[in-house]
Amino acid sequence: MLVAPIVEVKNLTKRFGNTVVLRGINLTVERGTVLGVLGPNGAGKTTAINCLTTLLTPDGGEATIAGYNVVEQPEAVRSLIGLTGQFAAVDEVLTARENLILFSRLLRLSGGAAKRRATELLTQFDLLEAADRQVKTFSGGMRRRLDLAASIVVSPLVLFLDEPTTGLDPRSRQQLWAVVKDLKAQGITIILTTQYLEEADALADQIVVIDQGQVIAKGTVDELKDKVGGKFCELRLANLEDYEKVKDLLSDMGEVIVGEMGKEGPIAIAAPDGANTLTEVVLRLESANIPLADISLRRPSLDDVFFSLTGHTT
Amino acid sequence: MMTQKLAQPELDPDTIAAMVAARREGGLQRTLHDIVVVAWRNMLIDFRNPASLVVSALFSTSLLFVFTASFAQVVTPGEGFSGYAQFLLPFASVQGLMFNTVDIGVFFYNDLENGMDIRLRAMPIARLSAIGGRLLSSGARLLIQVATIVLAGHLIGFRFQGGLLGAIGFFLLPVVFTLSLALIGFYIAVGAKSAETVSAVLNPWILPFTFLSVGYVPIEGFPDWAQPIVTRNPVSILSEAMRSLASGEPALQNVIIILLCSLALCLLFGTLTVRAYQRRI
Amino acid sequence: MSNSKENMRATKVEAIAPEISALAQKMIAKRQETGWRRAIVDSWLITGRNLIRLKRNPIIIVAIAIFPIVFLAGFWIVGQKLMATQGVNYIQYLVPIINLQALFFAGLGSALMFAQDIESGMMDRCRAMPIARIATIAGLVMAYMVRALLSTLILLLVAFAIFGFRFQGSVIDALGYLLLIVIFTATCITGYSVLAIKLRRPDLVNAVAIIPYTPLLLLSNGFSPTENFPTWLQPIIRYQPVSVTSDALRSLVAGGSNSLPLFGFSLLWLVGLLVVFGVWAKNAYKQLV
Ligand SMILES: Nc1ncnc2c1ncn2[C@@H]1O[C@H](COP(=O)(O)OP(=O)(O)O)[C@@H](O)[C@H]1O
Ligand SMILES: [Mg+2]
Repeated sequence: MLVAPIVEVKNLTKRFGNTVVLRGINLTVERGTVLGVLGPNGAGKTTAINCLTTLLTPDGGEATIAGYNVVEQPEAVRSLIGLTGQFAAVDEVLTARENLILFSRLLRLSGGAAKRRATELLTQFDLLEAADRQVKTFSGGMRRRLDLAASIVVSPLVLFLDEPTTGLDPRSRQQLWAVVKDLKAQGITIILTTQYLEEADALADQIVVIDQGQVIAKGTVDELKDKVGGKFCELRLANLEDYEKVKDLLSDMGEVIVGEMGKEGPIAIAAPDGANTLTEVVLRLESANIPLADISLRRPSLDDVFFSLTGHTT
Repeated sequence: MMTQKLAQPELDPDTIAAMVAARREGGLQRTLHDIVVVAWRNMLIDFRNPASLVVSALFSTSLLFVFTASFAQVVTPGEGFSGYAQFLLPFASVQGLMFNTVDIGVFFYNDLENGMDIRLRAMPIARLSAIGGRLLSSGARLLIQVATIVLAGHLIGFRFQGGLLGAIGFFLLPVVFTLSLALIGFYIAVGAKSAETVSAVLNPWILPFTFLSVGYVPIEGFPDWAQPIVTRNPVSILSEAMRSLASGEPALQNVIIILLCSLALCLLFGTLTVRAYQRRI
Repeated sequence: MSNSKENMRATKVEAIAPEISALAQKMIAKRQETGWRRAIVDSWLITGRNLIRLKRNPIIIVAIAIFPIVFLAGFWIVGQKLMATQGVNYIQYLVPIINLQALFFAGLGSALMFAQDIESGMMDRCRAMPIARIATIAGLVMAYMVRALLSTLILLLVAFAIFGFRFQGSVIDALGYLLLIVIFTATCITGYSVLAIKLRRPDLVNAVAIIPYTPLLLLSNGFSPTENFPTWLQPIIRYQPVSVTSDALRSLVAGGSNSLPLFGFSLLWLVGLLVVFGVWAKNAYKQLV
């Protein structure tokens, strides 16, 4: 028997007045995997999530969660999902524990079970010490963790996370990533949107890149990286004046790519032969007496992927 | 790290001294200039998002209309509505302005909280430009409201009969008094933990002061026990002063009392606010 | 929306792995959001949460107790002597409108909380959960109803103990009074919820919400009898809903036999407005996101 993916989205469209925000999104998610929806601000990520979580009615297309249609069976869908929206939606003047008990009760846990579940979640999300403080005293990272905890009070079949780490400091981000990985290990299917390439890299099994309401690429992280080509040899010159000379010296090996920072930043050259290319570059420069500040071999970053797909950086 | 050399002046002690001198924080002229700049920024924000300004102005105007409509026949039975409008308008302006003290206190609290204040303090500008700027822009806000209510009052029969000087006094006196009241709000804002605290502390005081004044009704309308309070209430004195200014009667005594009140408030709460402000952070 | 039995079965159930399908059906059955019992339980939970929020607001005591009392005292001091010359016992006249004003401000406060919920994403979170659709609104209305009734109780007690206000009607009159203030509150909250849904931004709601106060409350015969207004305004003053309701409340306070038509007229106004606002709010709410 052919088994359908747990989330299936076909040709989803949505417009607000005259602005078309989603122009036919297609995606699928297999059970127990993490899908990273990657796109710059305004790409339509939140709109897509809102359609899938029954908050918005799409104009066209079809979306199902575990076979339930989001437009025709919204009640069923809501029983299967959890949503952590773009802004931490927890009550400021309630304590962390009160927030979690409220959501537990709303999700049909009995009084005692709600209290136990709240304590469990507070422990799991490292909030036990702050459990009885009002949320307004929380840091951004703590708020976000509480927010996430509130959406998995009852383990959902599919969890939606809309830009879960935007605005967090690096340490809080790391903590949140650990939590997401933990949820994945519990077998929860996760759809997460992000503007951060390294976030998709760290968390997602599959990635779809969307830009202006369209999917412009999809695949695993590695597949996307391969799309851009193999490895690069990246170098920094000790003296910037040498740039033209280097360009001439290496001209037969391929074009010298100047990065975002211009000639002052690192420059790169495609390295189809990996380490051999690097050795070759070092030898040529040494014999020409051109000093290097730094040289390395690297895989293309997701920034490169996005740049090559859309023509602009995130 | 290779960076291109920026066009930096040589850093000998003389140039540094010149830089410091050029950006000197003190001095009256410098202080006034900085306060005006900050006030201008505050006013721009007010105008870009005028809901609060417009609603405050309309609200006091609507109070004028409604009280004229509902109380004229009670207070001055048998007479027309314009006589009562002439009586009520000064007080209606004062009342409208006094409601603003809460808003102003909250604005100042937001200045302190949203990082604007820190930024200003870290710049080589006059130390008190945040406070002074907020006061000045609030003054502008209040003047706009007095102007609105006077224009609206014109429609229902309010007239200046006291000449230019009287009119200028009519506009400035309530603004000066309200700003000195607003300093109480500033003092609370400096120590407050939330914007709600500011309004919770200020709000309950405004209403008794406005009710217990010769605002809606003349002194004879009050119960005997209340009359001594009412006559000594600064809001009464201010309303009387403005009435006299508008009708061209001698107002000097009341004007001086209000100015002295304002001065006292300024000295007391100005000092308290500045001291608390400097201790903050 | 199709009926709930149908909702239990996925449209493409055969294509989904059987164990997921079974799990999904179990989850759906467990968290069913329709049915009146769900509606009551969910509304009650949200009400509880809103009441905690109200309780923790530092200015709540000012809002529900001090503010109405100060208004009562203020208008009483200012108006009592002058009204007496017109033969009006002002404290008896004044208490109903001060009461209505307290209820009106409860409505205003609810708009603010509603807008905060919309802005913070709380509304979205609740809408994406399998809870009764009515619960978020009902929770808001009920919490503010509690606040309004508490405010009424305090006001009436103070008016009785300090200002010599007396309720002269029968028990039936008292029930009529209670009914009117409950419906008045519901109408205010519902009307203000439209404002909150349309404006969404708490700061904007805060600035704009006071606007209806003047034409509705002050331009009524609540503070001053209709005859004191300019003649051309009198018909509006006499028949606008707040006037009619304060007339009704005053006649219930005074007891006697002529309160029934006023009560009926007031009820008609309030229920009519409630229905209009309710439908409007519901439609606006649907287009919320
Ligand atoms: N309610 C709305 N009305 C009109 N335009 C909207 C609305 N919501 C979003 N948009 C527009 O749709 C586009 C996509 O928005 P969004 O889905 O929030 O993007 P993202 O989450 O990827 O940043 C943006 O250009 C935004 O301005
Ligand atoms: Mg978004």
